[in-house]
Amino acid sequence: MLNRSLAPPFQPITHVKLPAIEEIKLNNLQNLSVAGFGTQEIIKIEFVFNAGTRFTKNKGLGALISKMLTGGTSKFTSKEIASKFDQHGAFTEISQSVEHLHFIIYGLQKYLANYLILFQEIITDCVFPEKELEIQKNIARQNLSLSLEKPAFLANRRFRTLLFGDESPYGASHDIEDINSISRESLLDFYNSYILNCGYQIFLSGAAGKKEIDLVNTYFGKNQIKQTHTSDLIIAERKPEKDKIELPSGLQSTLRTGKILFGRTHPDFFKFLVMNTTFGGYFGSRLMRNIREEKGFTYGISSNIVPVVKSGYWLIGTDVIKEKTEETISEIQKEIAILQQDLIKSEELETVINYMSGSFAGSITNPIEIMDRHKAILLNSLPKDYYDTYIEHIRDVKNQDIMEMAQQYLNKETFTNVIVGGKY
Amino acid sequence: MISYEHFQLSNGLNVYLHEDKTTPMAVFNLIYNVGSKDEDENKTGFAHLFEHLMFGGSVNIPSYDEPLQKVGGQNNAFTSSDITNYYITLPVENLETAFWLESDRMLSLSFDPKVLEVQQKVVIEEFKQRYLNQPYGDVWLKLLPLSYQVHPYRWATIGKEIRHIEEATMTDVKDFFFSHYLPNNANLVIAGNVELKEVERLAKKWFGDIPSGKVKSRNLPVEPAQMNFREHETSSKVPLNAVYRTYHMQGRYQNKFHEADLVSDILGRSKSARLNEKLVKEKQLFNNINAYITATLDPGLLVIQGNLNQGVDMKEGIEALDEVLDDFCKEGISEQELEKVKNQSESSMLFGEVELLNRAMNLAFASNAGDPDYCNRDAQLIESINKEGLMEEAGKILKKENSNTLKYYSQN
Repeated sequence: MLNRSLAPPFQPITHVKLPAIEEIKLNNLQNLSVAGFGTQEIIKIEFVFNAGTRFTKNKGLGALISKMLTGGTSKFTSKEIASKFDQHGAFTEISQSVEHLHFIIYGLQKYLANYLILFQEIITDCVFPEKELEIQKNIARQNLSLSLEKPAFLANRRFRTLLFGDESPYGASHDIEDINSISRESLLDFYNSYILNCGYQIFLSGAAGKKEIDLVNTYFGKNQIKQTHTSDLIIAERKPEKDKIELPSGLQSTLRTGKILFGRTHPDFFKFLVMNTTFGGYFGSRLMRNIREEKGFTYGISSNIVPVVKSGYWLIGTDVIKEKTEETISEIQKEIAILQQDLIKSEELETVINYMSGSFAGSITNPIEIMDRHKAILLNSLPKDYYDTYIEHIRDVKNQDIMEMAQQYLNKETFTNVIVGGKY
Repeated sequence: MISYEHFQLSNGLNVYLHEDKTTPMAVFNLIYNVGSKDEDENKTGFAHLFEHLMFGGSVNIPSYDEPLQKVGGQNNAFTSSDITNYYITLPVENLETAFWLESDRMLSLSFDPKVLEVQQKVVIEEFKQRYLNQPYGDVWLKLLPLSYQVHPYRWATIGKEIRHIEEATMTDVKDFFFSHYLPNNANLVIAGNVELKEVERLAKKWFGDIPSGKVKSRNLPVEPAQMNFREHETSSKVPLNAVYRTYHMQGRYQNKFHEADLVSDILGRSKSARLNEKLVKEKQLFNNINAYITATLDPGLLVIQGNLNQGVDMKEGIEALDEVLDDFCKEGISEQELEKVKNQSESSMLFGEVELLNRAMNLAFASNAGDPDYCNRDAQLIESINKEGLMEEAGKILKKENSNTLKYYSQN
C-alpha cells in the first residue's frame, strides 16, 4: 500500500556551472559574445551602448530616444524601418537604463543579414525628423498620463526619488514639461555624443554559428570606433523619508518600503540574499505566509534586492486592503523582529536554499537566458566565476547569518516608506 | 516540432512525454478540462477561486508548496475560460516529488474552511488589484457581456462581481472538485530528460489507483450568429477615450482559425500594421491601436482596441477605424503583406518553443482539446494560407452585424 503522506527521496542541487560562451574580437577589436547552441532557428542580437539616462542633459530625453532611433534615417522613413523589421519577422526592443542603451532584435536566423543592414543604417544615419518627433512626443505625453493613474507606477516613482534624490539618475523622473522641452537638436546632440561611431558590446544568442558570426563581422567589424569612458556613479546615502500619495478613488493601498543596500560583490551579498528570500523572496516566504496566506490582506507581497551598478537597493512591495494598511505595516515589523530574535530552523533554511538552487538552475536552460547571465557579468564587471559559484555561495549561508543580516540591515529607522492609495 | 509519446492509465488519465535531453530541469504540466465556462452564471469566478484552493493542502499532505520548494521546484497555475492548468519546473532527479504532490491533490483536498475563507479574501484583492484599481482594468467585465449573449464566455474568468466570490461555500467547493478534478478529465505532460519507462512507472505508482469518476456533462449554449451590431458606452477616471471592438470568429483549433489570426496581425499586430500606420501615424487620431484574437476553444473574438488622442471625438475615431477596415476588405492585401505576417507568425512560434515549459503547455493544450497533434499543425496550416482564402475569411468576420463596440469615455 502506497504511503502518500511520505515524501519521495530527493537530491538537492549543489553545483551548477554556467555554460560557457564564445568571446570574439571583430576585425576592429569590437567585442562580440556568442551563445550559439540553440535548437530553434531563431536569433537574438543585442547591442549595448554606454548611453544610459545618466548621460542625458534633459530628463525627458529618455522617454523619446528609444522611440526616435527608429524614427527615420536619410534613406528610410520610420514607416519603412518598421516595415523592414516586420517583413522579416523581427521584433525590436529598445530600452534605456541608467547606464546603458540596449537595442535588441529578435528574429529568424535566415534573415539576420537583413536585420544587420538596417541596424547599421540606424546607428550611422539617424536624422530625427521633426514630424516624427511631434507624433512621438504626443504619444509619450499621453502614455505618461496613463501611467500616472497606476498606483504601482506612482509608488515606484516616488519611492526611487525619495531613496536616491531627484538629482540622481536613479531617482529622477520626468513629467509632461520635460517631454515638451525635447527638441530635434537635443536628440541629435545625444546621438552624436553617445551612439554615432561609439563603441558598443554585441551579444548574439540562439542559432548562431560561423556564418552568423561572419555576418556580424562583415557589418560591424570595419568601422573605427571611439571608446567611451565612464566613471562609476556615486550612490549617496540619504536620510530616510516617508510619503503618502492619496488617490481618492483608490480601493487598495500600494506600499513600498526599503533602503539603499549594496552590490553583488559585497561580502554580505549572498547572506542577505538568502535572508531576503526567507523573508519575502518567494511564494513560501514569511511575508506571504503571514499577510496573504494567513490574513488574506493581499494578492501578493514580496521583498527584493535590486542591483544598481556596483550598489543596490532593497524593497518590500504590496497592494493591500486599504483598511488594513497600518496592520500590514506592523505585521511586516513583527516579521522583521522575529528574524532578528529567533534563529531560523534548519528545515526552513534548507527549503529556502534548495528552492533558490533549483530556481537558479532552472533560469539558465537556453542560450538566451545563458547569454543574459554572461551579459550581467560583463556589463557589471562581476567576477568571471560569479554564476559558477552562485549555488555554493548560497549553500554556505548558515542559520546565524540570517539573524545577523536582519539585525544589521533591517532596522526600520533606516527605511524609506511610500504609501499610495485611498483614504482609510 | 514537439515530439511526444503517449499512454493512458486505466482510470482514463492521458499521459504524454516530451523528451529533451539538453536540460537538467523537468516540467510536470497537469491540465484539467474545466474553466470559467463551466460555472453557474450566479456563481461566477469559481473555477479560478478553486484553483487557489488547490494550494491549500491535500488529503495526505498538509502543504503543497513547501515540499516542492524543498526539492528545488517552482510551480504556478492559471485558469482561463476553457481550462485550469497547473505546472511545475524542477530538477529532473526530483521528478517523483511532482507526481507525489499532484496525485494527492487529484485524490482529494483537505477542504479546510479556513483555506476557503482566506483565499476568498485573496481573490477579492486580486479582483481589485487587476480589474478595479487600474485604468481601463474593468474593460473585459463590460466587453464580454456585450460580445456574448448566451455562451458562458460572457463573464470574465475572475468573475462577474466580487459578491459571487464572497458567496462561495464549502458545498460548492466539494461539488466542483468531485465533478471536474478527475483523472478522466485531465491530461498530464512530462517534459525533460526522462525515459518513457520511468514516466510509466511513476504515473502508475502515483495516479494509477485514483478512481475515475463521472465528469459533469457540459451542455454549453451555442452563441448564435450575431445578426445586428451592438454597442455600449461606459466611462471612468481614465486619461483618454478608448474604443474596443469585437468580432466573432472561430475557436482555437477550428477550421480557418489561422486565417482570422493573420487578419488580426495585418490589422494590428505591429508598428507597420494597417491600423497603426493609418490611425496613429498618418491621421494621428489614436495614441495606440492594435488587434488580436482571444484564441478560446469555442468560437472566440477578434478584438481591436485603441486609445484616442486627447481632444479627438469618439465618433471621428470610430469612423476612421471603419474606413481602414472597409479599405482592407475592398482592396485586399499584397503577397508581400501576407508574407510579412507569415514571417511574424513563424518567428513567434519558434521563440515560443525555446522554453521547455512552453512546449509542454502547447502539448497539454492540444491534448486537452482532443488531439495532441494539434500542437504540430500550426506551422503548416499558416504556410498554406493564400491571399484569397485570407480575404474570404476577413469578409466573413469584419461585417458590421458581426461586431460589438464599447465606447470607453474619459471622465477627466
